Amino acid sequence: MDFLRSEKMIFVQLIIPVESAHRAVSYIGELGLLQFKDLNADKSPFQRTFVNQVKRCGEMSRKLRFFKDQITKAGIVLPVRPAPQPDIDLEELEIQLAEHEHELIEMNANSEKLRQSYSELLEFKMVLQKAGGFLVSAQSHTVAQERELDENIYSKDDYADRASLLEQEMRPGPSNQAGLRFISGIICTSKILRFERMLFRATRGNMLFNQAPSEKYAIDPMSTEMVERTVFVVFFSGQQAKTKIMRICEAFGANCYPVPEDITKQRQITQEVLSRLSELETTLDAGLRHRNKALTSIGFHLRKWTIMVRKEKAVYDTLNMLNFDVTKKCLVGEGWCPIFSKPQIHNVLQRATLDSNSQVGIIFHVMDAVESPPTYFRTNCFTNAFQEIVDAYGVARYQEANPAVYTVITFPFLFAVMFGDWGHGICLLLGAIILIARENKLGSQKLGSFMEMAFGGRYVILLMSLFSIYCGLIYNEFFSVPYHIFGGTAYKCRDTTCRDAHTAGLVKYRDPYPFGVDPSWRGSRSELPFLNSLKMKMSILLLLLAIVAVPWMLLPKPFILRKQHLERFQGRTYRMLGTSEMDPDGEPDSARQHLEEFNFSEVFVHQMIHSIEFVLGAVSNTASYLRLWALSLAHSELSTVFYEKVLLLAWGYDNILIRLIGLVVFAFATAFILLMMETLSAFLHALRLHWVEFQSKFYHGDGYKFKPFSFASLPDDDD
Amino acid sequence: MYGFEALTFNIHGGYLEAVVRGHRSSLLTASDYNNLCQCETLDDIKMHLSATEYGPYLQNEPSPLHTTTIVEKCTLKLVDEYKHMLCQATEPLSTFLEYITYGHMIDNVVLIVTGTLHERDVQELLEKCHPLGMFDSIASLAVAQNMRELYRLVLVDTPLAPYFSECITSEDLDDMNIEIMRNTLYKAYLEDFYKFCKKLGGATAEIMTDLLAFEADKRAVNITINSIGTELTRDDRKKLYSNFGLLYPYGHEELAVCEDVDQVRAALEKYPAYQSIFAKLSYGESQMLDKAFYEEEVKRLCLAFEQQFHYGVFFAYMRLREQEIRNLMWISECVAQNQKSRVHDSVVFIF
Repeated sequence: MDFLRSEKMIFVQLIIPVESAHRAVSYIGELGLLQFKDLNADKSPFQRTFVNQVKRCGEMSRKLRFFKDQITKAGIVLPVRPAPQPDIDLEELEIQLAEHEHELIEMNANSEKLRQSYSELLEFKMVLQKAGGFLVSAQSHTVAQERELDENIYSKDDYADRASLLEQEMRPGPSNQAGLRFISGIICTSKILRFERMLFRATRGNMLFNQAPSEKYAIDPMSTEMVERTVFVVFFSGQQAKTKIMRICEAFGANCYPVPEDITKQRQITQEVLSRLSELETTLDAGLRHRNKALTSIGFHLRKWTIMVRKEKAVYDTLNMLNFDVTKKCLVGEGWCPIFSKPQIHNVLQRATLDSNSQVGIIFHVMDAVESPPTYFRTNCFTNAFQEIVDAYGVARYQEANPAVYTVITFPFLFAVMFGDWGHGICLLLGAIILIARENKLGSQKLGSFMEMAFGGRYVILLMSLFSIYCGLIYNEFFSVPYHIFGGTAYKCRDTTCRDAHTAGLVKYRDPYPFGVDPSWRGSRSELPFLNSLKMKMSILLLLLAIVAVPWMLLPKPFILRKQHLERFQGRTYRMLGTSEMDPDGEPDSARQHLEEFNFSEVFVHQMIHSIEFVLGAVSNTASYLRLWALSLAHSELSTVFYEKVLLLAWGYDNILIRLIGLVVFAFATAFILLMMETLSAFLHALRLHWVEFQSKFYHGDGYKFKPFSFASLPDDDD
Repeated sequence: MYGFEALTFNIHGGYLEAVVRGHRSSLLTASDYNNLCQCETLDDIKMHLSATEYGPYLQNEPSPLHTTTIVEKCTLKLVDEYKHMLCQATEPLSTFLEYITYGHMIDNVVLIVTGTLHERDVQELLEKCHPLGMFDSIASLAVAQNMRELYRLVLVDTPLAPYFSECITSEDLDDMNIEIMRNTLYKAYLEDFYKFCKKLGGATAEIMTDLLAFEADKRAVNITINSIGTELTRDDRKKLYSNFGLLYPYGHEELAVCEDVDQVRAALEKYPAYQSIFAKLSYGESQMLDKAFYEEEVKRLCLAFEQQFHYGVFFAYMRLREQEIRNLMWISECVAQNQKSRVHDSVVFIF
């Protein structure tokens, strides 16, 4: 494994007989080391060869999503380890899925009907109770004297009104000639206000509206959603008003139920409704149990099926990238693979030929490629995060020096220069150790976006914390408290009273402090100038490093380029001609074009301009490296503020409560501001220093990543 | 403050402008349409769309698809985007966004009222309504018998109420006066929107007044062509034209007296901006006029994206997306009915 250069790639061609194509591609997918090139890029998806299979897979995954949806809605917990099941092929699976779907839809339809009538009955029950309540309460208060029906019922006392209206309602005979009737029903609570207003307008106020919220949430028979509903009773007079009100009810989706005026009749109906409700309940329960059983049995295999369908779809998508050869008996595929994987791919292809009993083997050979190969770095869990940091800026050109190698050390170091505090470093270290210790557990489960990020960069955090401890020891910072770890200070007061320590200063009386900054500097008048000069020297150092490169760029490079060109030109005259003819518009900026018209003076001038640019850039970058000092200063000042102005201040009081508050504030400020925010900002600046100041000096980063066809990297569209 | 929008626009509008420009980049391109036009079945269309931003909306549809499902799902996407933008918007952008939907509201009102007049089921009608033009009490429109009731019962609560002032009559509803009502409402709506955009000032006013003027002129031409041979008098016809736009006022005088399509053409060809539209058409033809107008409109809408810091992009985006949905509907209809030769008749490429 070479960290600095990307893997050597070869362009290969596969000629696969049709009968073993599917197996070969799926084996390659399991191996995951071959990137297929789309040979049908000019064709739209539905003009390709295996479009029907892709469609079928899409249809199957739709069914699987439907099952999953149903299972989650039913609240069934799936077993984590599904029962092993004999392998089935796609056709069988398709039939099975269709059966299951059909069954499920039928069951849903049946239970839907039942549920609808159940919720209707439930509503009826509620209406009966509530509306009956209105009628009864009115009746019991009926006063003997009759009242004329007032046109404007709203001007009257509501209660008396209701009584009189109902009284008239109940009584047959001449007083009912006004044709006073009522409609009762149930409606969503959210619509009730508008409903009432609409009724009022439509009847010009000639109505009385009573409402009572139902106790529990009920299912709307239409939309099968749980909503809060309200029972209403509208009293009105006249046939025309009735049709209007009915239409409004319809328009608002209110369900109307007839409530008999007679109390005995009411009771009778209530009884009926209740008995039917309990009947329906048992039927529904049975149906639900049956359905849950069916869903559980589906859920047993769901995960396996989903993975299988996803793999099949990926295989067909890949097959769609292949071309038929002239005889239509073979599929031709082209792609990139790393050189080391050649024997593995050979093996896999042979196995595919054997397993599919094909007479003809699969031909696998290396070809010349005109385009530049993809970049492939093999990473492990440690280098992966650093490689990601570099790739976020740009993927390295093929075989270009990989900055990730340096980044492994420089990135945490630059971070630590800004974050130097061994107290905070230890906190970070603990976090990183927790993440790493639980690597196996965390790696297998889904994490939140922030945790995911922290987990992905756990080794970065580990190194960052170690370097922070190191830099913290150099700065001698521990939550801005000075410590004498490496022996005593080298300075002492001039006399025993130490009166003039802050005016005249101290005297050095023995060897310098062995490691880092002497703790006596802390709190002294010249602390800042001393530390600043220490931290700023860092950036000057980096400038010097950069300047070293200038003469190298200016003089030897053009000569070396010239030499290289001459050598190459002599050796490859014929070859060059052949390839350039084959690919006249290959790559505009590839080295080949430049080489063909190599002009020394031009290269020299170019190099000179480049050097000047470089020097200018280096100077301005040096200024940029000053952020190391600035952030480190900010960090130490902030922690001083929290330590001195919060913790020490609170400790000054002889009150346990104030001390406690001080401690809490200090702890939170340390955790959130110093540990989280400062970590993020130092991380950000370290990123910038790498991307802009470091990588811009040598890194092209215009390559493209190697994306092999691999089942392991299929997108997980579970959620 | 004209010319200084760049200073302050991004405080409130920056995020949404970015969002809408992002949405715009997901509009189907000419190559998408070329591929779609080659589809053999609706499943092919679904498959092609699944690679676009419509994918998540269509992926859970069972396989025998219908044109209506495709259109419904695509509209749903637009509505979701619109709702998201509306939720994020602050004044005056939120009002501006609401203005965009009023046109659909008018269409929905007319749809329901005409439907009930012909005794259609309200639920069925509601399904046909454009989801952007829905308002709370839309279903109760079916209750009303005449304009006055329509207004008093339902529309007084909606933003359309002020536009109604000109068409409150106690006449019973019939097809003719419903159509007149639609156009009167539309006229009032366009004028109000125009005024609102003028009030916003800056680049918004500049771009939106152009777009709205085009819209008003387009409507004027359509009204004229549709009213030829009906009992609508000249004065009534003229009353339906919006009082702004390139054609106002002299073009309106001429349009009001037109009696066939060629006269409309003669009236419009005096305006250089509209010459190009008619240049594509042969004499006496009004079938392709719609498409020609749509093409011109799409061109103008696309131009709205060339400037930054104005609200016109929202209007333009919504319109372009609607045009795209119309295109998809047409393509799917042609595919479903095996009329692929006519597929190019009404598809307006956006890019």
